[in-house]
Amino acid sequence: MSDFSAQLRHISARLPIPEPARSRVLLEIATDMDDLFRHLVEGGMAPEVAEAEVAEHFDLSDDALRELSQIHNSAISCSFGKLSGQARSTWERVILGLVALFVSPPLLGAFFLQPTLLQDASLLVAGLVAILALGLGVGLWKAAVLFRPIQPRGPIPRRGLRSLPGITLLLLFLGFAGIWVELYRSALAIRITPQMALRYLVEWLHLASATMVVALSGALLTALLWFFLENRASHLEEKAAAAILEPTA
Amino acid sequence: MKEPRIELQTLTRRCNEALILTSLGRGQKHGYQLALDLEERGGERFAVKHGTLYPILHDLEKRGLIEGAWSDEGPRGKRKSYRLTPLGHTYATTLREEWRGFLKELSHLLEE
Repeated sequence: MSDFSAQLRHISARLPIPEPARSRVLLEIATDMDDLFRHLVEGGMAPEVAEAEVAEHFDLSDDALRELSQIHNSAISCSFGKLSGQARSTWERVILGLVALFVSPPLLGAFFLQPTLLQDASLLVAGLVAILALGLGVGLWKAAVLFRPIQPRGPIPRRGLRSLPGITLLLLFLGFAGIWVELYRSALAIRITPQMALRYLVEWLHLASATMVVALSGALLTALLWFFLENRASHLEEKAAAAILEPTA
Repeated sequence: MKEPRIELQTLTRRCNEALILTSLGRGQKHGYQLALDLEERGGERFAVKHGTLYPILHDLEKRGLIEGAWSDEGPRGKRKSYRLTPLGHTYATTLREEWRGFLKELSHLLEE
């Protein structure tokens, strides 16, 4: 394997695309450079001449790099990248930690310390709990992959990670849906027995607040989980990209 | 029915797409193998600058015409290879037909 780190650094500097796309593109180019170099040397070319030949073949023009940037800078990947990238500096990480410390215990505490919470909530709470369990399962699986002591070389597997924001939104949607479904049921009951209206409305408030506590706690938990795991994945990808760009000994 | 018109400005791009899709139709390949296949099948008449393939490959992948997959191999631990999707297969057939028609017309145009 020859050292093409200088050329890869030159490409990397002109390739303004977010992770993980950037390190994937660089790794793909690096492996192809290695292959072409080996092919040329095996074909009888002197290593120095082969290196120059490879450099010429992989001299990506500004137009080619611009096109690659356009392909990989989709609106969704950019917004995801910016959202998770917000917590990369130390101060921002500290602030996020404090938010997690002070915001999640009251919500999660309500969840665990109030044994009747689930019984008090809307019928849709079973769906909320099932989706939350799915989100936690995905989160734990990804945490096990991303916090392995020895990381595999190359792109970080992100499969499943981006389902966590979707699960967060689904929890919020189901929480709000629960409120409206229960309001509709209360309205039906009030129409039959209008003299019990106050009681039904109080019951609805009780159901709605319990449902929202479950939905918000779950959404907060899955959102925080995604945030930390996404940052961990970005950190590993940056390390992987830096390793590709480092000169080989 | 009237044949669709081909914009001359898009010729190079469409030619590259047709060649890449046809090569991948013959089997899964890494970027390097793809360039080599095009050069060898062209009887060494065509020079493929490897760096120019990436924007085309990534664009075809984004459009769902080819599929890239990473495998655990090679000196760097991972490497990417591409294969044709069913959508890509259909598109490649259309492109080849288009090229055959175009080359026929072009040879008529170039007749003295």
